[in-house]
Amino acid sequence: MLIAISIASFLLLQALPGDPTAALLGQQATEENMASMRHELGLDRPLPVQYIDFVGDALQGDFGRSYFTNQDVSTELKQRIPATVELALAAMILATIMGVSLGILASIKPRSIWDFICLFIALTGVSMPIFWLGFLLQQLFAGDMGLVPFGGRFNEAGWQGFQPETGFYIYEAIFTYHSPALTFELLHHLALPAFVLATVPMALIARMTRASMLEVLDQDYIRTARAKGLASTPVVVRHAMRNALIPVITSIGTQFGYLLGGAVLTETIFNWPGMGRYVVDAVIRLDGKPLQASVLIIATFFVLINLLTDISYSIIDPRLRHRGRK
Amino acid sequence: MIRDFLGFLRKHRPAQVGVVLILLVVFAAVLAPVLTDYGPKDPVSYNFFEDPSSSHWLGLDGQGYDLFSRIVYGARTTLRIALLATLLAMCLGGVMGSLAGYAGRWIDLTVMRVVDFMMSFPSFLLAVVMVAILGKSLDNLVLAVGIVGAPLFARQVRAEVLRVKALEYVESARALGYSNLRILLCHVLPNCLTPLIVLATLGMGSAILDVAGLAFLGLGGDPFDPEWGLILKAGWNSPSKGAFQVGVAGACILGTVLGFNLLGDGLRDWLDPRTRLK
Repeated sequence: MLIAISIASFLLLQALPGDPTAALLGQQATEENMASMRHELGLDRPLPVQYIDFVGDALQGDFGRSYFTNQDVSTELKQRIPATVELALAAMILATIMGVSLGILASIKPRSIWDFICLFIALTGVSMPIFWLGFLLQQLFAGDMGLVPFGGRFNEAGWQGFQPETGFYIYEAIFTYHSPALTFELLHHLALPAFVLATVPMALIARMTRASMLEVLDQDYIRTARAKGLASTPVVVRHAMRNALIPVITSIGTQFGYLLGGAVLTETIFNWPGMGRYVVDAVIRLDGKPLQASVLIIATFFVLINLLTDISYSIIDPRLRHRGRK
Repeated sequence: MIRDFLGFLRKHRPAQVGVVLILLVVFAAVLAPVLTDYGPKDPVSYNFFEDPSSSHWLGLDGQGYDLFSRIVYGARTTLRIALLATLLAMCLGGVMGSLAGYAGRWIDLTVMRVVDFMMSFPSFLLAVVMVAILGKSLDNLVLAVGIVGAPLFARQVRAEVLRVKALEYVESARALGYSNLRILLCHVLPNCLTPLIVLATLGMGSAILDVAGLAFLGLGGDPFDPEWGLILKAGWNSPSKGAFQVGVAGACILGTVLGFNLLGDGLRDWLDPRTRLK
């Protein structure tokens, strides 16, 4: 699959409309200039040779230069990837905590207000245009109430001494700079985009947890545990949740992969300098190299996360492990 | 079958809400020229972002167009794009899935590897890349969203074809000497349609969201086209005055997607014997 992804990413550059040499040289370019530039970039060589070079360079972390800004794509990606990972991780943590709690509350009190809230969130969450939700929350919490900033990762003017080496700002604020104020500043900026990005996975996790818990709570062994006089909390926590959360935990991996796609919209609304924003800018400018590199990296992430999710099935579910040994 | 579903619908409150929401949007889309005196691309006044009044029910937008007429004509554009994209996904996925499921062996292997490959990209990102290749326009959004949606249909159709082709009546048809094409088209595929209708209903909702999202990112071509994502984007560009415009366009998208999701869930419940018994 990774080979297929690398071929598709390579061919993407060929499929994009426009000539990259014309973009680099501008409107004044002559045919000779363009031919010479094409030779310099290696675009006049056979496609298989270009592909082998592309894979070789990509494995060494070299994705070439943007045709539009002439910036090194790898250097840009080193800042952009951690920004998206930080946002997606925060969104996933929020979605898991809120989704699982809501799903469990709804299942242990069916037809209660919690059940109604869970169903409402599950339905509206998956139907919500997140760019709209982002705008509304931005206007309310950043505009009217002034509780959070409008966008960006941190206030650069206020923290000029912050020169992070990696793109993982929160990690650096805690472990390198040991600054609670800076950590708070970063979390302050992260809160709203993470919440918006968490909406869809939260809705799906809440719905799945509710359905899975209702199914498990209806099983004979739960009835037996209750009949033996076990209190409600241990029945739910020790017996029902352990089995009901198996499909939920494994689905979290898949959701994490989809967050990488959802980040495209969230990063645009909150001016978050991550991969999603980078892809959109590259598409609008028809800038081949950044687009090619971003697609390759996001798809590789996505495949690896799906692989880890598949592996986690057998680790989390003892029945599958047992069947595997047999 | 339709009478059976209508009977089920009478008892299923969320699906009723879904049907009402969809009918409202279809009603607005079909009767757009009757509902409003203004065309979606006819500038009415230079009083940009004018407040709602008796002559302009939702006021004017940032370009001086009547917002109500843009919204009702937007229902037409949005529904058309989503419907075409879903039909494209259904046809493409249907061909891929029925080929894989019925032919089996290397065809199955090849088609399913293509499906796996397409599903190895986050779908929205794949649609963004497709638009980059095809060019920015509403028609290309149909192609991008349709192609991206095809793998889901392919998987579902393959699973259904595998189930149906193992049934005795298909074996009888084969024993009678019917051609593979005849068995597939006349006997197998018609019996695979019901779960596809559920998937298509839910697919309409996600197609509307994807199209609006792509248009919002500026990949929808002409920004003056009456499409809800583009209307939302135009309001978003001037957040201090365009908040109402963003609110209205977003609420329309949410309501329509919610309608399709509620109806899709209702159809799924109707098809699931366990839910029907409850």
